[in-house]
Amino acid sequence: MADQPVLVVTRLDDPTADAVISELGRRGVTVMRLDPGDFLAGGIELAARYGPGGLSGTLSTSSRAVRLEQVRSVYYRRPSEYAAPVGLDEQDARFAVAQARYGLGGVLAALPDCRYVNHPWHIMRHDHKPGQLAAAAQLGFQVLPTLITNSLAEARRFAAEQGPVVYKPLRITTFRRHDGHAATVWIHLVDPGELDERIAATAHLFQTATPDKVADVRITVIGTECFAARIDSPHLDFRQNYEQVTYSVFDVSAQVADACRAYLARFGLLFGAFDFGLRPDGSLDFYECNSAGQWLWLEEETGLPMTAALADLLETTT
Amino acid sequence: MDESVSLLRPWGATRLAPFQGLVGIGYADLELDPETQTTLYFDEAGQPIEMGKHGTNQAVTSSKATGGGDGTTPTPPDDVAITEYVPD
Repeated sequence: MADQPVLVVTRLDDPTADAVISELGRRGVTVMRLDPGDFLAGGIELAARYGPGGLSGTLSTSSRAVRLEQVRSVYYRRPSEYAAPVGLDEQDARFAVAQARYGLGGVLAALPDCRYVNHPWHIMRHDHKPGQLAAAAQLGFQVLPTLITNSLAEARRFAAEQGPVVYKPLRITTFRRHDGHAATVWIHLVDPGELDERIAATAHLFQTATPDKVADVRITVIGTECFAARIDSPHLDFRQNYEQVTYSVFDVSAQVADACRAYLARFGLLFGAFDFGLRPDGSLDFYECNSAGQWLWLEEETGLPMTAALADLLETTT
Repeated sequence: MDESVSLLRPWGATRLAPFQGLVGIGYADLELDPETQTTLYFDEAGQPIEMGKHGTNQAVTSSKATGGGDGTTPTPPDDVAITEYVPD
């Protein structure tokens, strides 16, 4: 079984992963899809052995089996959470989840001579906006004045001195309204009069709005290739309504492309979806980078060949 | 520090708003195709739907960027809210 499979680690509902898996299939590459969230439900069998020769062992699902030491690459997408079976005692459940995370998760993060797109620990390290902003500034990206605070006075001062400002969550969490509908925090301008003592309840991020913002620009970097799309929307936050969005291929400068590659190298990432705000003078304000960002819909809208680039990265690891 | 602060709802959480436009999970059931390792999507009537391809808006909602960043972490991953949204 020396066919050097590609392991795709993601949840069942992930059309982006499906596109990459289909492309790898067309190329004759063996793929095993795995959702670590199935582990505690009995859907995955793990037997990893360590000794003088390092790692050897097997990982299997109901439909595939791989030898761990032969995995050539891992496409780490959007796995669901480890979840203990309903009804298990709370302490036992916590124990089971921790063992799964450090056991299966630990094995999956330490496969020898394996390319990770991206490595889960690098994803975790990168997934904090303060570190992203600091790295972006060091690498020469245009970084807007930003404040992270739990002080109402500081928030008010920042809004007065650096306004107009927007509020952005530091981390997205799931919200469901009382009517059962999902909701999220969209990027809107903050009226300083809205700021109140509830700022003190936790950390909040405020950022100067891109002056005279023209459009959003998404640069998806896959390996060393850059795919840039311009996104036009009547909303400050285009994600608010996809029916009103138009797309076009964006001509990104060599300088910005190089800075994106340098940024990913700094975090040990091979994939990154960068979000920028386009100013009238053509310059780009760095917003954030997503190490598991969505991109398939942009390929469908612009024709930028990102599925092929990702399959290349996972297939050819030498 | 004022202890009453801990009882306040975070200011950021008061700025929630629902999704607009046509978004929805767009499927009733999911199943892994053991042969291709891709996911099969089915509607309420048990008929297969093609996801991740063009056709309907619904078909691509779970492959789009969602509000506030669409990254993920290994533990715990982001639960991308848009995939769970069920319209009226």
